[in-house]
Amino acid sequence: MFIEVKNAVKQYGSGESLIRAMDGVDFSAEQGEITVILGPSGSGKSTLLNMLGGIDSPDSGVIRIGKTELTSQGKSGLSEYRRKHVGFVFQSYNLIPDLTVRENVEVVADISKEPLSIDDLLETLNLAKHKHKFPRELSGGQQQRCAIARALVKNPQILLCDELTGALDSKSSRDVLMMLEKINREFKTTILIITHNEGIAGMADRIIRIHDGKIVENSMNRKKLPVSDLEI
Amino acid sequence: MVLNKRYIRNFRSNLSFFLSITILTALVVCLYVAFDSSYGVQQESFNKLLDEAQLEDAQFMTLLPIDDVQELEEKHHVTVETQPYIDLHMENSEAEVRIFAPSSAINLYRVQDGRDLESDTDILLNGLFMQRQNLEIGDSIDLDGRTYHICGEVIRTDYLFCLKNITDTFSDSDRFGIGVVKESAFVTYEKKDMATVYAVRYSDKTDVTAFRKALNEKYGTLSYVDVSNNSRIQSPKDQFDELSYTVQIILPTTMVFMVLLIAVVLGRKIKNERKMIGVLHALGYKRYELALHYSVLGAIPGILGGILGVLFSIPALAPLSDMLIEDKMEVFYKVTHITWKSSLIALVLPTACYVIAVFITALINMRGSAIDMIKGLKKNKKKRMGLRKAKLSFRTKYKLRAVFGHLPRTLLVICGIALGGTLVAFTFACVDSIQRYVDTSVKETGEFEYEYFLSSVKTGVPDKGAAVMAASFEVKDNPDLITLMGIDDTSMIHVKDSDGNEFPLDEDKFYISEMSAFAYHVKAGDTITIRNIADLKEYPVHVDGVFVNGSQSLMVASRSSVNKLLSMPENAYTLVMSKEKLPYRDSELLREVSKSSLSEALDKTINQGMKDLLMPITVIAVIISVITTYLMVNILLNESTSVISMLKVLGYRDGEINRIVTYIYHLLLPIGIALGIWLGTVLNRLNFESQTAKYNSFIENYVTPKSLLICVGITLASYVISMFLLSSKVKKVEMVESLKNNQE
Repeated sequence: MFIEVKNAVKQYGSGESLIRAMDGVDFSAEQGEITVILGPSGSGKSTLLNMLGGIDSPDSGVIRIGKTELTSQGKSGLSEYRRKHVGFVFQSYNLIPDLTVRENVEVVADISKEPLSIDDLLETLNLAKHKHKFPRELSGGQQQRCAIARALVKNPQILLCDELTGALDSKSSRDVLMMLEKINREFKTTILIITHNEGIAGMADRIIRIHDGKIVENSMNRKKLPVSDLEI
Repeated sequence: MVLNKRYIRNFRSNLSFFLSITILTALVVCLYVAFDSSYGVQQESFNKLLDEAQLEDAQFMTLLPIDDVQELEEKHHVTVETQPYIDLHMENSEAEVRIFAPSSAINLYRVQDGRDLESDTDILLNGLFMQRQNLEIGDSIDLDGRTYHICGEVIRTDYLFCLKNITDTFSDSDRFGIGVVKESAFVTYEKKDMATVYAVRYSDKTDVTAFRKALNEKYGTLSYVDVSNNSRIQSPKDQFDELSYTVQIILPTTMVFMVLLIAVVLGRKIKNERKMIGVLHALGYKRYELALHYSVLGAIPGILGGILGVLFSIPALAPLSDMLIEDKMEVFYKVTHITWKSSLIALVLPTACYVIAVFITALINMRGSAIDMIKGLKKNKKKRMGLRKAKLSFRTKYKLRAVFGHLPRTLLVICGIALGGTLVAFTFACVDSIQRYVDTSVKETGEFEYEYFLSSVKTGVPDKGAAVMAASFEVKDNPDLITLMGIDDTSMIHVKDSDGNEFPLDEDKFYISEMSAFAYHVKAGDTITIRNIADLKEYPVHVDGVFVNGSQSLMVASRSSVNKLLSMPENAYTLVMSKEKLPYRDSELLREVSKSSLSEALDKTINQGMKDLLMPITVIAVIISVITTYLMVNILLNESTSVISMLKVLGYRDGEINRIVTYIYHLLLPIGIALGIWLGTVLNRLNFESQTAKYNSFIENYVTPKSLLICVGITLASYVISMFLLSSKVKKVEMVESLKNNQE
């Protein structure tokens, strides 16, 4: 298994205000799979994504991505893991406002050992003609594609997407998801998508449902659809 | 309202920021209050002392004794008091004590410590003399065979700077002091051993010129010293004047500038609260309610800093008041309280500025709709700096855009770096300029080593040395004195222009020193009117050139030209200049001056005191510099939290993030340092230019390369310390910051 999560527990607060954001989560996924994690607000899906991305650590349990056991890493180890293996895409894009599209992608390429060609990537993501624009000069969909380009330029083993279409209209959402589909196909990148949107689950190889910090469903998607056919 | 609970929480969560602002406020307030109070209270008490003592307007000596003082007083509406004194030798010592009887109308004495005179064997002595002679109140002192009981410490306003001769350059309390004994004790001294000086006070009705003319006609004026030319009285006053620019201009300006800078920083901090303001506004809070709510965040560091600054200043008062009065002067007042004026300003100004800045920023932030505020959207978004296609790394472009694309923030940082540098550079430039003045001024006066001021006019040529006709004159419409020198041997004194060319001492050619030209606003080609001190006869003199000499008020011509002007014999002289020591007897001389003593006196009079005072300012300047830079770069970090957080998420290490985000202002450092040094030296030049008359010297602005290096080093070190303190800030930024809404 490429992704392995065993009995991961994460708690916030104490006493009466104790919140179990992750309550003994177990799941695994193969390399190259698209996994969609569904769940209502506060269910613990973002916490799970943060753990998988090395942004946060569980209080107990084991998380392993490829050959790296995240739960045994210190701060610098997690930083190296994020640097080499993970790409992030957030709902709010998080582009650096003082840098152009190309430069935002360069931020990651600059610390990668074998980065992909930025120009080729921007071409693939239909951003070539916007590469010298600043984020605020782009539409939401274009900004999100730029964020995807930034995440992909290091050719990560795993791409983590947190509500990546949450701020987009349906057309932009479909464009962005089609890009992810293409990336998965071309680069065999393992992709994890967190969303509220049930429609997006159609493109997944694996669907996980999470509720109150517990996984309530972990199943392979027998009816995987191309993004163009999704109802989103 | 319940929102008020946020104050303490906000303070806690931004502890280092608010603490820095509070400490910085306290420091500048302390600096201002301590100096202003020490200076203000001491100057006020000085003026009070002069008033209470009925200080003379002038003192004079006459050829004939004045036997009809009352008639003179009534005719000219003046008060004249005969003030005899006698110099007595201290047993087993080289020291002399000048004994006065208590005066009744002018130059009244004040008992500074101990008790007043009660018996004929009581004596009051001046404090510095007692200190140097290891005498204390209650001790006995033997003077020329008489034993006195020291009952107290005295101050006579006409001997605040205790010069034995009024023309002396410096005092020597190891050898000279003053004492006051009862009138009944004083009359027992031999009259023949006494000297007499007359002190005069003018009234509004007095025609001073008429009085002086009448005095000269009837009694023959031997000397006349206006209070403004009396070093014994003026030296302490000059001490204040030397510092007036620093205390009354530099320090208040620094405080105002710092406070404004902090106000802007606070404003920027509140700008970061835009989202929260938006939320509260959406919840129904009115704009002015929110503006007032945030204003309290500004008021807290203002009030706390103001109170702490005022409290810190109190223990600094006593040492500062000692420093303000150079150790050759009588300390007439120890400041122990702060002034209402300075403490009120210190308490009100920072708080008012911070509150206003925050209030205005909050209102400006609320110009958009609540939704825009919550979403972080702005109307009229500013244009990003270009460099879109420039072949530079993203790091370089980021730095350039962060610096040049956010000009108000950048200017703030430059000001922050420059401010500390300005204070440091000012203090160093001040000390260097004075040191250079001391080093060069005596040297540039000429090649002579000794000056012998003769007690009578001679004619012909002296056996050794160069004959000089020297006389002091008043300058019309100016209380200062100028010395007119007639000399033929130009190897003794330098009369050269700024290019080093010697002026020819031809017949009827008169040259004026640079110092006088500056003080009396004259240049080559102008006419200056000088007048005789005794008979007030006026002499208009055409100025043919200005020679280099920034330390003496001089006018030089050939000896025959000066003697012709003064209607003296062509070969008359009153001064002998020599490169070697000459064997004159004491009775032949009014005084003897050596170049080395002149240099030493200058150093002691104006250099040491200044150095003592400027060093504490330098230390505070360094602290201010560190905190200011810290605050300025802290703003940058606060405004770059989301970028720092995102870079962390992307796998950047703390050091790499610091290099991209925190250290962007390295390239502003040279600008900040250069600006600080430039401003410091400009302030120093203005300082000396404004005080030429007060210093009685023209001190040129000068900074040694060593001091420049030290200034650069101190500013650099302050910056490095700030960077060191800030580097840990990046560590504290949470990665989850980037997960918050961060749309452009």
